[in-house]
Amino acid sequence: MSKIYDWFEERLEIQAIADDISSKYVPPHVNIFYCLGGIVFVSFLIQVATGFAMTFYYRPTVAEAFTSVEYIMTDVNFGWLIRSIHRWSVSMMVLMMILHVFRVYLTGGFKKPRELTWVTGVILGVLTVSFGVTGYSLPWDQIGYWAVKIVTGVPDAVPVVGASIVELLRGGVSVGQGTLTRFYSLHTFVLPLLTAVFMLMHFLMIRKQGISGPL
Amino acid sequence: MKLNSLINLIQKSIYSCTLLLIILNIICVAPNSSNAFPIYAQQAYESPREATGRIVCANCHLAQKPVEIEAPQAVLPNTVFETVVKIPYDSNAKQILGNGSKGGLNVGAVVILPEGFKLAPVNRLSTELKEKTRNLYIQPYSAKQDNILVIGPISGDKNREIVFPILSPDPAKDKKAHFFKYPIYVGGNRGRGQIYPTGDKSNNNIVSALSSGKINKIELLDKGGFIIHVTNSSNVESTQKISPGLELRVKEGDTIQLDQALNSDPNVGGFGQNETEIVLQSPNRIKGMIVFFFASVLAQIFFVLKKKQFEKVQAAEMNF
Repeated sequence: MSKIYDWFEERLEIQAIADDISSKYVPPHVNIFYCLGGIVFVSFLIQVATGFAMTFYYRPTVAEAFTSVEYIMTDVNFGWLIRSIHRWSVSMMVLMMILHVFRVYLTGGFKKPRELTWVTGVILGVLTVSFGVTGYSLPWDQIGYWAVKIVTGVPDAVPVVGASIVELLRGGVSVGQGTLTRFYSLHTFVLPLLTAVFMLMHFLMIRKQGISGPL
Repeated sequence: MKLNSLINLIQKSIYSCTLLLIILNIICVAPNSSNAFPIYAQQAYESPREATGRIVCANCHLAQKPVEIEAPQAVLPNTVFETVVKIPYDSNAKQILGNGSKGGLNVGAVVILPEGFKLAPVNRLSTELKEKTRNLYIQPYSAKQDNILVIGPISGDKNREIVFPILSPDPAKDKKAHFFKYPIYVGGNRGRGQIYPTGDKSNNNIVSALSSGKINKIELLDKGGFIIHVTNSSNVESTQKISPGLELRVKEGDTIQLDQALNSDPNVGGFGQNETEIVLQSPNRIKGMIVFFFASVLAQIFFVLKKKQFEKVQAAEMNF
């Protein structure tokens, strides 16, 4: 054991990392509400794990999306559990995120020098909502189809460029296969990548600056 | 030889007797059973729900009226449960009958269950459910589709709420059944329809004028009904018959246009459709969830206890 430890210590100085992690003390003003951000992160990890598992069976085509989701729910071993966890955990994640925002706002955690942590947090919030919107439509059932139709139609109200934005979102003038492909790509590739990047920034800044002070 | 011909004769008479019985049966019994309105749909449509989601009753019962369905949120497999179809209408309403007289309204309903769900057999019903469904003759839509149930026409006075006893499938025995959330579609109707399957209009309708012109005479017939004599602009007289029981909205001397309504709408009934969702729930999943929640709570309690213990140790060490 110590041999392996020495091998890594020699190359990566893991003792320094371990010291850094174990030397942080939780200040006495920290209460249970400071857990909310961590719960959001755990929810995200659950989403990644279950969502990843579902990509094995989900087919992002207009003809097969709904039947493949049905297949996940009925025939795949524990598919119902994986998808149900994905479905419920997203609600948990959004709810906990909102409460986390309240906690940060009410304890003044956004003030100098933590403005950038707040900004990355807002971006993460936008990304989470985008996850929700894109994921909602993937089963391509009635509710998902009409939701995507309405949501992608909203920018039409913007003058001059509105119609172009709608076309960009839908991958065509009307909602169809192009839209589903785009939403699937966003939901499973673009958004997770961006979220990972911004989460890293969020966490590194918290590590650097520590937990915000008491009221 | 003689015996042979005798047997032949007997055989022939048996055949003809049977044939006569069948014909008699068709003449006497069949019209009575086809008097049931849902039978029209059963004869004409393989499935009562069209691709657009419309239930085919609406093709003949043209007025739209509300209908409600009450079903449990979730059921366990191989369980009898009840769904209630509510077909509300004004209890004082009287409708026009086929012969023009007024009478009470009948009701009918169709319930489209998920595949695998079917009408509960009588021996599985509780006494309470037996009592509730005592006078109801519910039948499957067709031999192939026992998940679609129809009833009617039955008197609407006592049956504005119709109880359907339903048996849920068991995924352990039926490979096609799954633990899943399913839709239930329901259609409910009160009152007579406006169109027969042949395309003919019933008398429960607005009659529109066949020609423009001036009404010079409205003739009241002995057996009820009217004949309206209309003279058009080129002085050609035409007649139009109005069946008994309808209330005219025009009088002698009126000028009418083509397709103008000649009577007030006699229809007091109408058809409505609705839908709800039902979960076929696995008991093991519920148990699993309870165990999971219990384990989570227990884990949290132990975390708190461990933290308290650790704090005590810290406090003890600091006191030195």
